[in-house]
Amino acid sequence: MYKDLLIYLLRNYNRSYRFIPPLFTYLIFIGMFYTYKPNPVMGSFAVTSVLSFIVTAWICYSFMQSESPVQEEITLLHLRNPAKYYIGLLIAIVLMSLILLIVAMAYPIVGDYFDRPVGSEDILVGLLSHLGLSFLGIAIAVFFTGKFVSRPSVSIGGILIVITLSFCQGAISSQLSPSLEWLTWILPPTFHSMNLLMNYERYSGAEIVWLLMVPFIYSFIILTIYIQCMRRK
Amino acid sequence: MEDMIRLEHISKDFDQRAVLQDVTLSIGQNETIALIGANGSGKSTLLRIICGLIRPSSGKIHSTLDKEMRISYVPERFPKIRLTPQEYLLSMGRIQGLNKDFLNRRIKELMEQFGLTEARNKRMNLFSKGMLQKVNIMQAVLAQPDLLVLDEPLSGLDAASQQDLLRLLQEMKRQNITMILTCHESILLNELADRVISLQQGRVVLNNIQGQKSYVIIHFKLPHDVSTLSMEQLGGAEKLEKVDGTYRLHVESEFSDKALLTILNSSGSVCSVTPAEHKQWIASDSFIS
Repeated sequence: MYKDLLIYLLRNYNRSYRFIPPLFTYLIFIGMFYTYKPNPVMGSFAVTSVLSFIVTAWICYSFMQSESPVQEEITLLHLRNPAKYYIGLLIAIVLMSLILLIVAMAYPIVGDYFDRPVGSEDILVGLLSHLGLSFLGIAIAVFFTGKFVSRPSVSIGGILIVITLSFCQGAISSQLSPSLEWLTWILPPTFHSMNLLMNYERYSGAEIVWLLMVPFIYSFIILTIYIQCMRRK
Repeated sequence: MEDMIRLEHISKDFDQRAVLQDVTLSIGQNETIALIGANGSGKSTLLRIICGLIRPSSGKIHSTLDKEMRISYVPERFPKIRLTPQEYLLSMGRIQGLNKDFLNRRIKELMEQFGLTEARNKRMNLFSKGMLQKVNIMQAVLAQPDLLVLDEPLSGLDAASQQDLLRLLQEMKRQNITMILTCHESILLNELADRVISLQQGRVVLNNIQGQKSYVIIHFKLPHDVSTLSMEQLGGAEKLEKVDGTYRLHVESEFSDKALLTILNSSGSVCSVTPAEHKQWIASDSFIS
């Protein structure tokens, strides 16, 4: 159903070469991060998941800018379904972020950079945390693209501020009175995912499942709002 | 004629600047409308509202187009995409749901028609303005649209390509495709448009429909001492030309008898009377907002 749209969007993005800066930044960072070994499994996944979050936000921003506004109008008219177009756009960005996921998971396992053998639970948690944080990256970047913010400096600044605030969620939460603590839930739950991986042994099974799901739930809500906004524009 | 789209009192503001003001117009089924006006008069904005790409700031749009109907749009400035025309057109066709075999045939046919066959596998970011404009038009006519919207379609095209495009659009008109276009060139107005709407500073200032008028050209001689004033002042007289000592009077057919009588009463002699037809734009008040 989305195959032809995805082929077009991915081909158009790849020919724009806008993927090179984020992808190479990611690859260089991963290469440098695993220079020394051994590394803790979950601690390493925490770092690479956070990096996936930042780089996917970057990819999302550059992906959304790769199709000119005029061409976007042509594509929308041919497609006759704005929701389908924006869902296709998000799927294409997720597909791009899968490259990051594969690299982040496969490189240390194949290169034997961990301090212990990696089990199926590690792989599952690693996959879900990387993917979840990539979704979060997309969710925050979509509202800073040209459709909402016309000046690139404001967009990039806005994305960086939200990323920073999402890392400080724990600290902000402790500073606020209990009645206002709910305000931190507006921020992307990056801190909670990071905290889970850094202190994996301290969490119960139910907490692990919930905290792995939270980024997907948060992203789903934000991206649904985004698609509804775009349909009305 | 049934209306396909009717705009009522449409206004559009960008950054508190009024681009369109109180525009009321209708587009009938199978009708071809030309929008004319100076740069910045709001033509492109009006086209984008008609396509549904932007919403008006105020006013109502009544449309009989449903979600399954095809609107094809030829924007004024086509972007320099890094795909080849073959890749691009195939993608645009496929996302419309067109069959791959049909598309390959159609793309080949259009490439030949617009003389782009040799460039079909070259990336479009290296194309000239004219070549890009051809691809722009091709993407809009891959399948038969229900409404074809063209913003300055002749822009950047050489004379031969302009004729090719005109033929293509005339063919589409024969297939009863509704069209609305903006243009500065008289060729599209005279050869294609059923109605001309003139915009000035975001307002409709003139709404003309095209009609045929019958004329006769009376070729006559007059004695040197007789004035032509009475012929020039005749009802229905369009123009009086002096050619090698003789005169040619262009007059509406219904006034030809009176014109001939005036010439004969002025001691003139009629050399020939030739019927002729002219296309003429007739003002229509009913659409002016």
